[in-house]
Amino acid sequence: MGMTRAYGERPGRPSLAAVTGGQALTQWSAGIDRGARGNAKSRALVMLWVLFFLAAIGVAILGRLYFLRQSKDIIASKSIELAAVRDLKIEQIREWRAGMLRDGEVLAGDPTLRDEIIRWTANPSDPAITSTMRDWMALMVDKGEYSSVSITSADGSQRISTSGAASSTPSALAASRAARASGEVTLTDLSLDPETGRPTLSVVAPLKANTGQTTAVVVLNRDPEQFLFPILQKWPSPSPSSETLLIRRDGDAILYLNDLRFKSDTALKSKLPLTNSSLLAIQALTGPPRVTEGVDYRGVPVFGALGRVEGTPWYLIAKVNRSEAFAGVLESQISTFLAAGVVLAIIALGLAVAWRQRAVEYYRGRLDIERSEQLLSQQYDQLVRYANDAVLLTDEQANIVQANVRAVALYGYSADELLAMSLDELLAPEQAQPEVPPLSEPPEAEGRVLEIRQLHKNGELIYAETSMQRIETDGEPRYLTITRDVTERKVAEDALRQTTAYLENLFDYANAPIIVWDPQRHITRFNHAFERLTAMEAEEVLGKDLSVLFPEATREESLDLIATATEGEHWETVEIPIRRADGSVRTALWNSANVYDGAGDLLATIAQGQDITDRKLAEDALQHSEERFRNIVNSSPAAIYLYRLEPHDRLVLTAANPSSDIVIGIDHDDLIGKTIEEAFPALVGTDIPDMYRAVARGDLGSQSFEVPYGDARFSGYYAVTAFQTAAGLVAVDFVDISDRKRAEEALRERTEDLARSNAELEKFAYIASHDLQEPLRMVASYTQLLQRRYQGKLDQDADEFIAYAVDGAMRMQTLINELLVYSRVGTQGSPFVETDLDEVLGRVLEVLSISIAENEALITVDPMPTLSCDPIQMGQVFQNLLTNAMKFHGDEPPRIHVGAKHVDAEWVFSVQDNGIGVEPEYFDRIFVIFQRLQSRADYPGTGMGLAICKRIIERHSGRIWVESKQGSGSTFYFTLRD
Amino acid sequence: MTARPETAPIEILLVEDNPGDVRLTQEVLKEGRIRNTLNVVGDGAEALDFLHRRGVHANAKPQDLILLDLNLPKLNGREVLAEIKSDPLLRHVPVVVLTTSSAEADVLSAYDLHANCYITKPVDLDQFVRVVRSIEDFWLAIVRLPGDDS
Repeated sequence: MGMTRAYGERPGRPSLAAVTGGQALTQWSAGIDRGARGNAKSRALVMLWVLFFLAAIGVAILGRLYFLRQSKDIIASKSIELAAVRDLKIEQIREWRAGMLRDGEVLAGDPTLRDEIIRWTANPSDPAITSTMRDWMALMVDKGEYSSVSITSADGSQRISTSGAASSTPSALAASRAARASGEVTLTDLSLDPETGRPTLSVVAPLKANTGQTTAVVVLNRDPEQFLFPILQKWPSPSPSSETLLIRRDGDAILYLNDLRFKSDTALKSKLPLTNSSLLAIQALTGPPRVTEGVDYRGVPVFGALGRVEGTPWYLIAKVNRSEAFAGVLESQISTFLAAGVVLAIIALGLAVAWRQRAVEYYRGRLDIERSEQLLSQQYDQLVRYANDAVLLTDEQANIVQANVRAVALYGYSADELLAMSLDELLAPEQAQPEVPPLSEPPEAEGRVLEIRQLHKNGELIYAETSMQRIETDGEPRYLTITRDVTERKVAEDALRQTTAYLENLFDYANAPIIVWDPQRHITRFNHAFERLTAMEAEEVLGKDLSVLFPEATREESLDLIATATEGEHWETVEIPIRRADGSVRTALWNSANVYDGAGDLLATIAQGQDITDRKLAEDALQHSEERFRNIVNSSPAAIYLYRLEPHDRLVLTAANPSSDIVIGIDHDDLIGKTIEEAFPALVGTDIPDMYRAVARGDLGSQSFEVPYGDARFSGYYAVTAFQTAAGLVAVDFVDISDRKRAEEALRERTEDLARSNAELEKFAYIASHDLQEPLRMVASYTQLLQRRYQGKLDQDADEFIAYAVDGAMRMQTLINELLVYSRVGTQGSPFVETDLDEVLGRVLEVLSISIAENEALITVDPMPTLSCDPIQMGQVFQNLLTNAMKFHGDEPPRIHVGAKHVDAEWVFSVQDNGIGVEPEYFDRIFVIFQRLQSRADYPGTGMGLAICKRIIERHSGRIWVESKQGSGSTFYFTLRD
Repeated sequence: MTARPETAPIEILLVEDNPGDVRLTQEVLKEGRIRNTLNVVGDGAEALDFLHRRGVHANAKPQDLILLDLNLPKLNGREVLAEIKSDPLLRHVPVVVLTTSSAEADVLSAYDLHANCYITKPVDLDQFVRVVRSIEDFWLAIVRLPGDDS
C-alpha cells in the first residue's frame, strides 16, 4: 500500500522540477502560437455582434411583454365600462316596464273605474257615462305617459278609445284576448302602430266584476320615443361611436327595436338574417351575457357588451367601434416600440466603445508578451542547460531529441548516446510503468509527476521523480521530462519506513499494554494489549483525557502519579488501577518514559503496563485459603499428617494436627522431623510411602483408600486420603473407621447368612414340596383306591380310618402344592414384560367362571392398565384375591369390584367384596404363610393364598394391604409401579 | 371314516418310573371303556428304544398313545417329548404329559414341544379316574383324525 502510494502519481504535490517546467512551457507555447492571434480578433468581433443581437432580442421580448400587459389592461377597463353601461340600461328598462305593469295593476284593481266601466258596458250609448269615461281616459293621456288609452268590453262588442281609431296594434289585440282569459295584467312587445306607423308598447289590464268575470280590458299604449329610445341613445361619456341597441329574434332574423345611430328610421323595420355569426347582435342571442368583439349592422368591427332584458324577448347591446375602444392600445404599442429602439441604440453604442478599448489593450499586450517571450526563451535555455534536474525532450515515440548536462551526468550516457535512445530504455526493467501516460494523451495543465525507477548506464538503480509535460515546439508535438534523482532520499525513506513499521508492529502487537499521551494528558496511542486490558476500543479513547482510564475511587491519586511522570519522573514500577469498559478494575504495574523534541520540550509520555490483577487475586486467595486450611486442619477430627519430600526422596513428617494424637494414639511431637518409614515402621515394605511421594510430586492426584493398619503402638481400620497441598507437600488424612468396618463386616456376614438360609429354605421348600408329593400322592391315591374298592366291604371302623387317611393325605397334598407355589415366586418367576392387565384379569375370570356361577357372584371390573410385570404371577394375584372374595362371603351372594386407579407414580388396584370382613388386628397376619382366621370346616383352604399374593407383589416392588370392617366386607389393595 | 374294529385293543405306552403310579394307571385303565394294551417303560431312554423298536424292544408294536411322565431317570420327559416330536414317524402319535407339577412354566414348556395334552397327576383318585376318562375321550376324538390309517 505504502509503496504504491510512494511511486504513484502525485498531481497535488508538484516538485520544484514540475513547477519550473510547467511555467516555462506555458510561456513557450504562448510564443509558438502566434498564428492563432488574428483569429482571436475576429472571434471577439463576432462575440460582440452576438452580444448585441442577444440584447436586441431581450429588448424585443421585454417590449412585447410590456405591450401585451398594457393592451390587456386597456381591454379589461373597456370591458368593464361597456358591461357597466349595459347593466345600467337593462336596469332602467326593467324599471320602466315595472312602472307600466304597476299602472296596469292599479287600473285593474280600481273599484271606481270598474264600476264606471260596468255601467258603461251596460249602457254604452249613455252620453253621460261615455263622457265620464272619455274624461278619465284623457286624464291618463294628459299625464303624458301614455299616447292613447282604449277600453274594450269583455265580449269585444264595445270599444272606446282616446285616439278615435277603431284599431289597435296586433300584439295589443292578442294581449287583450289573453288578458280576458287569464285576468292578468300584461305588457305587449314593441310593435308598429298600424295607424301612426310608430313603434308602440301597450299595457293590457283586464277589469273584473265582483263575480270575477272580466268585464272589460283597458289598453294603455306607450310611445317608446318618449322614454325608452332616449334612454338607449344616451351614453355616459362622450364617444364618437358608442351606441346601445335593443334587439329581439324575429323568426330567422334579428329585429332592431330602436332607431340606430348610424342608420335612420330603423326601429322595428331593420332586420338582418341569423346567418352572419360574427354579427354582435346574433352573438347576443346565442350566448350568455358577456363582453366580446364582432361586427355591427354596418359591418364595422366593434367591441360590445351583450345582455338580456329579463322577462322580455329583448337583448341589449352596448357597443363601441373597435377602433375607438382600442385606440389606447395602439398608442401603447407605438410608445413601447420607440422605447425599445432607444435602449438598443444605447447598448450598441456601449459595445462599440468597449470594442475599441479592447483593441487598444490587445495591441499593447502583444508588445509586452513578445518582449517577455524573448527574455524567457533565453532564460529557459540557461535553465535547461544548467538545471539541477535532468531535462529530456522526446518526440511522440519517446525518442530523446534533446538532453541537458545534468541528464548526461545522471544516466552516465553521453549526449550523443542519449539522443540515440528512447525514454523507455532508461526505465528499470522490473519496473512496470503503468503511470506513464501514452504520449498521444492531451497534455494536462499541471503535467504529471511520477515516481519511477530508472537505470544508470552502469546498471545502478535510480529512483527518479519525473514530471512530464506535453508541449509543442515549432508545431511538433514533444514531451518534456524533467527528472530529479531521489535515490538517496528514497533509500532513507525506505529505511525509515521499515523502522517505523517495525516499531508500529512492536507497539501494536506487544503483549504488554502500552499507551502514549501528550503533555495535555490526551491519549494519542493505545495498543491492542491495552484494548484487551480495558475492553475499550482505541477509537473510543484516542484524544480523550487519561482520566477515563481510572476508576473513580483512585482517579485523583492516579492523576497525581501521571503528573509526576509528565514532569519528568521516570517510573520503574508504579501500581495504577485501570477501569475496564464494564466498570471492573484491573491492577497493573507501570513504567514510563518521556519523549522530548529537539528543543527539549516534552512531546509525549509513553507507559507500559503489566496486568497483575490475577496475580494479586491469586495471592489474596492463597493467603485466605492457607488460613482456612490451617483452621480446618487444626479443628478436624481426622488425623492429618503433613509430609515434605526432601532430597534423596526422603519423605519427612513436618506437621500434624492435634487430632492425630487421639486418632493414631501417638504424640505427634515424637513424630515430627522423622521420615515416614521412621515414624511408622509398619509401612516399610508396603507401597504406601511411594504412593505419598508420587502425590507430593504431583505425579498422582489425590488418593483415597481404606486400610487396616497398625503396629505395636496402635491398630485399626482407617479411611485415608492423601493429597498434594503444594509442590513437594502431601497431606495425609486418617479417619478411624474400625468400628464401622466391624459393623459392616458383621452386617455383610449376617446378610450372607440370611441369603444363604433363604436360598436353602427356598430350595428346601421346593424339594420338600416336590419330592414329598410323590409319596404323598401314593398314600392318597391308594387310600382312595382302598376306599373305592373296599368301602362297606370291611367294617365301619375301617371305612372311617380310610376316610381320615384320605382327607389327611389330600390336605397335605394341597399344602405342599401351595408351598411349592410360594417358594417359586422368588426363584422361578418370569421376567417382567409389558402386560395388558385387562387380558390377564379376563383370563382369570374365565378360569373362575364355574366358581363364579356356583357362588352366584357378581363381579364388576374397571378398565385395567398395561404395565410391566410378570403376567402369570399377576394372574395368580387376581385369582387368589377373587377366590378369597368369593369364598369368604356372608349370607348375601358375593358382590365384587375390581378397581384400578392411577395415584402419583403408581397404580393402586383394589378388590372389594361384601363378605365377612377382617378384624383390624388381623390385617397383617392374614398375609403370613399358613395363617388362617377361619375354621377349616367353614372355609376350607391352606391360608397360603394371601401370602403368595404378598410375595408376588413384593417381587414387583409394590405393597399389598387390606382395609375392612368385620361383617361389612373387605377391600384388598395392592400397588404396581408405572 | 372307518371306525377301529372293536376287537383290536389300542396300544398305550406309559413312560413312568414310579411303580405306584404305574399300578394306579393300570388299575384305572382296567375300569375304562376302551380295550387297551398298556406297555410300561421306566425311563426316557427306554421309552425311545421302545418307540424306535430298538434292542430288547425290537419287536415292539407301534404305539397309539403315549402317557409321559416329565420326571424320569436318564432322559427326562421333555427330552423324550422333543425327540418324539422331531421324528417324522412318531410325530403323529398323541402324547399326554403326566406330571405332579402344576406350575404353569412346566405346562408352557411342554406345549412348546407340542404335547397334545397335559395332565397333572391328581392326588384325588376320583380326579385321576376323570383324567383317564378324558384321555379316553381324547383318544376317541383322535382316532377320527385323518391320516391315522393303522
